[in-house]
Amino acid sequence: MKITLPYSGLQWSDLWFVLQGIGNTVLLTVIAATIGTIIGLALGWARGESKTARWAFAPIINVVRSVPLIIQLILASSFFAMAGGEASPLVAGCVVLSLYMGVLTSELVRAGLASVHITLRRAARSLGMSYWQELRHVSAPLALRAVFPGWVGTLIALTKDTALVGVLGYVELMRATQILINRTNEALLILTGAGLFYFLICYPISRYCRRLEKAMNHD
Amino acid sequence: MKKLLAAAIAVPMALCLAGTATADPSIDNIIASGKLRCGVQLDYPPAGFRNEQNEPEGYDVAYCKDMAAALGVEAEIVETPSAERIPALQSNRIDVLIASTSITPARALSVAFSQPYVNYINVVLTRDDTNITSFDEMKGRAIGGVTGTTTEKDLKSAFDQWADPAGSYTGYGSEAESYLALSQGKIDGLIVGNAAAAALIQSGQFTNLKVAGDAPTPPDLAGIAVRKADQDLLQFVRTFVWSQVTSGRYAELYGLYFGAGEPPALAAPMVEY
Amino acid sequence: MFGYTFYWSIVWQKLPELAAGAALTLQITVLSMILGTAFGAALAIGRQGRGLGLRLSTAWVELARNTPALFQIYMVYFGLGAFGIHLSSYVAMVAALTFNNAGYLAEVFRGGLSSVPKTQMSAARSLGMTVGQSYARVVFPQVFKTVFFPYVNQLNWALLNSSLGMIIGLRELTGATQAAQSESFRTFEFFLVAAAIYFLLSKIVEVSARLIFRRLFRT
Repeated sequence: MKITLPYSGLQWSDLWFVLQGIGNTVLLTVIAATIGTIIGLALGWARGESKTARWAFAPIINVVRSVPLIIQLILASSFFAMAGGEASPLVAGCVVLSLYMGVLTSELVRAGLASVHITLRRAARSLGMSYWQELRHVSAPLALRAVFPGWVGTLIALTKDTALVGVLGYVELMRATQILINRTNEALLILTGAGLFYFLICYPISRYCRRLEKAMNHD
Repeated sequence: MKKLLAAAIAVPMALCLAGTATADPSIDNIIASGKLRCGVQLDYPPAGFRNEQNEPEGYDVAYCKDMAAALGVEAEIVETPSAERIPALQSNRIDVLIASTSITPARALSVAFSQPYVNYINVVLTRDDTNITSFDEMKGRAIGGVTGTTTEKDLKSAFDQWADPAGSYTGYGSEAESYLALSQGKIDGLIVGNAAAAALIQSGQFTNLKVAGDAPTPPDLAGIAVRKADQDLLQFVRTFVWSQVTSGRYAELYGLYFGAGEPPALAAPMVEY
Repeated sequence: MFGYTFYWSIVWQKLPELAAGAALTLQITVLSMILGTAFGAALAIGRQGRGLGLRLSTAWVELARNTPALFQIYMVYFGLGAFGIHLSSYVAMVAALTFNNAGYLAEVFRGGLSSVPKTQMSAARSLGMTVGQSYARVVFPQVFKTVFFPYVNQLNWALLNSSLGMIIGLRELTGATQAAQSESFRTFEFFLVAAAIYFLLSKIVEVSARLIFRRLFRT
């Protein structure tokens, strides 16, 4: 009887497998970045404007920042299981990473708002602007401008951290890489390819970001 | 302000959870949905691995397909890494866990096991150049195993008994990694299911590995796990496992994935499951 | 919805194993930070220079910052095998984390150095101090102060990043937790306890850093 072999060499069709992994990485990054930014803006603004919010959100922010993402992911997945919900690895990953991105972004937004001088805000209000008008036309544009480089940095961190969702069985690029390594034993070649992908995405953005920061510090 | 805040948090959560539904788990649901979803570990050759097309294959995968056929539904293979096996089962992402899971009382507190559907007898796996020819010769050597497996526990208890300061023990995250470590010389020996070892050596990927005698370990009997509440499904699985053996399909699958030789009995001496 | 019963007694039985894991986690973290500081300082100096030193240190820093930590660990653990270098998961983990820490710390140190205006050096020199004295008494104390919190931040990252050891079979806190949960399948309970331990460790680092800072730079 013929034995079916668990090991087989690398072949062209594996490129498609890797591309699917890249697609999954990008999908997860885009979803988590979008939701996370929305959460971050709201959370940062709430924490900046209200003491109650600062106090109320402190526990969750502390936990998100002090517990490894791997454990957050496993816990989230188990939590959905306990709650009786049916959460795919994509959903669990998307919830955890959105929250993570949100918390990091909120720190930036809060600092950004704090950087807008209080006299400027008072001046705007005394010109007859409502709270929202002032926020929309004065504080927010100034704060967001200060926040942008930091936000891009957070985005890069997020892109790299999507690699951890592979632990839940979500086949993103790093997981696809590991599967191929286990199957083919061609670690160096496959890893170099995967590393190159992350680098080519993150490096130009981080350079752009650094130049931006420099330019902003000069004016 | 408050409403806006609440919306900003609730909307994305809702987006994320969209498509999430809670279902009543039972055999009727499997029939109604037309799908049997099996949790399989795909880094556990030859029970679970990916073939050249990166599609799931192996003894456990074939077992799932047979079970689906017996139910008259389609098989859906869900890859469940170690930490995901139980959440996947509890969150109703899979119906059965066919992942070569060793039957233990501690685990039976969390899931319901069928009787054994596969039996792993352990052998010593080593490299050609280590001079190890039997289990006891692993004393004082660098050995390893897969973290959290029953096999690891057996090997570690022997390792602790030897208490040889020259020896060392390393735990690995998956079978594949431990084979790689052995082949690359990170460790000199490990114990592994005999069938898996045979398939591994015949694969031609690890030409420097060989089997060096049996390991004096109790038989590693693995069962299929279902949710504790799914007693009707458990009854079906038990009947199905029985029929796989009586119909000769067990021997056939065993030969296909684990190699030639007598398929081991799916029982331990002196006791019934 | 929450029909889940917690089985805590199983976790308490395994607490010694988790404690041993936590000890290993601390060991890896501290070791990789000490080594990372040494390499990071060298890289920061290398990036001030030119030629091969500049190119090598820039490559190190950019690679460390723009690829996932998990990729770096895989590269050290599996990838180096192609060159006949086979490291144990412990050594691989310390080496990969050192690589990562050094990359980030180099930037921290560079930021610290550039935060001290060059004129201070000239001022110190014109007061009759030697180059060594100027660095020791004028420049470094200020660098130390700006670098302090980013450094502690990196220490925290190293602590959280060490959890990736689980993926290459290391029994640090996350690995030990993973092993313990797979014996009894009480995934949620075990990882919840692990999360609490990480939280505690991270808070200890944060609070003691703040106390140390206050003692060192009383203002």
